[in-house]
Amino acid sequence: MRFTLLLLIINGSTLSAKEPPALKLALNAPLVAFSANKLVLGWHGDESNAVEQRVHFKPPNLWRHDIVGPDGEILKTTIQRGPTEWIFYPETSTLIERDVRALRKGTLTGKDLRALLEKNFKFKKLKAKKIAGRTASGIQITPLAGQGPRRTLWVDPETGIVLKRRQTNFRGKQVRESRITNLVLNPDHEDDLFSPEGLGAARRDHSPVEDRVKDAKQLSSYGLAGSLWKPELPFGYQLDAVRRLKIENTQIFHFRYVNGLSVVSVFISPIPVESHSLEVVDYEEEDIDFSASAWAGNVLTFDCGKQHCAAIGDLSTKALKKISRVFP
Amino acid sequence: MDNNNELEPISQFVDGELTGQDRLGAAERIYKFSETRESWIAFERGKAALEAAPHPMPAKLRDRIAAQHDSPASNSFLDLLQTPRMGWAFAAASLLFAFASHTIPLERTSKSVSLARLLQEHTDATRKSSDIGRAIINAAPYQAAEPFSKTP
Repeated sequence: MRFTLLLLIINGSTLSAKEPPALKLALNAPLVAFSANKLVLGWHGDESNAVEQRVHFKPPNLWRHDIVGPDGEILKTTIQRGPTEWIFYPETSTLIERDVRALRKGTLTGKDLRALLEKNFKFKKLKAKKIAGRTASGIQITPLAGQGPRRTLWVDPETGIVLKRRQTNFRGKQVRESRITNLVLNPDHEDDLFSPEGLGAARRDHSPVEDRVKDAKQLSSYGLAGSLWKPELPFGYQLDAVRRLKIENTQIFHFRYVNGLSVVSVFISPIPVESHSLEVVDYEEEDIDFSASAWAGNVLTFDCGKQHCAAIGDLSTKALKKISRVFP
Repeated sequence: MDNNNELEPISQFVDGELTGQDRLGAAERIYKFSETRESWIAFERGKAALEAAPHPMPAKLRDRIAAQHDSPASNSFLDLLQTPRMGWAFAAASLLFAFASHTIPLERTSKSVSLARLLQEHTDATRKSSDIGRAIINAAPYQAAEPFSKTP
């Protein structure tokens, strides 16, 4: 009897290291075309802000996001056609084109990110609830190491549309929430809705190509110790890309690490980094994916050999200190 | 729009006086325009310096400044400059400031890297990293001959 009860408890447990089906859906493109209004709320300390977006999607990979201003005017439009992205600023009538893969220059694939997500996080199934007229399955994603942000998703199991997302920072405070407020399935999208031609840009530009460092050997050729090349960090972070930047005539190296849900950046500079803290930098829109968080919740500056380092990520100071000790 | 009108919202942003869409608009400008970002950094640095001041302002001095600020009949700053004593004092202060500006270098431009810029790089790179998710991994190969290549 006791054994049966124990088995029932285990089977009924909502915690699992395995990826639940709703999460699998959320990690893929939605199954149907839709148009929706989305409200994105962000919290900075005691303050909050709200941004409205209009989102349009057409399978398999056409996205359009319009960021709407307080008077209903469009502040920014992003169109994505597979890996090609166009960003339009109506105020300056400027259109920027970029190939996301070329700009990112990371080594981790979508498959890698999923594997990291499964390895570093546990999943809890939440009670279903109604959002925008649909019944949504809820999943809470929590780091196994107990460090870093948590994420909660509500996904429509029939369409694969993520109806609500909530992000909690390393302190456990809610920092962002987005939810679909008005959803129309299979709408009649106009032909030029996903075309940059329809935006009427006066000026066109391409994002500058970034300089990627491939390995420790190449890092040494730039005058940096090869021992600074660290493929892994504590808390499940894996090296995705190393970029060489020029900031104020100084050569800076940016090491980007991903753990499946959030990103930690380590910058290496020959001159010190400003040590005083600044307000969290966030952006007003929200990506179509959720496997990497841009939330820069904490900063730690430290010396690494003859260089100066700064670690930025949504982690506690204790966790960032542990990361800093990896660098000689 | 003159320079003061552009700087005022940034000052209010730093002081936490903006809320809702005003705050968002200021943040958008800081993100988009490098000159606005520089102003923001300057205000942040000024605020940090004020907060780091070792002694609080004496209560009597604070009351006196508050009384002057609240007085509706007080002269404007420009009116004060027209008096000979204040005029000379202002000229001397300007000379001192000009001398100091040329001899004391600003710390960040020569000795340190802007943390705000690193935060921006972190955020932007993170966005690019996340873009490999949902639809991108199912994407058709990038075709350079798509409509955009018809550049005027």
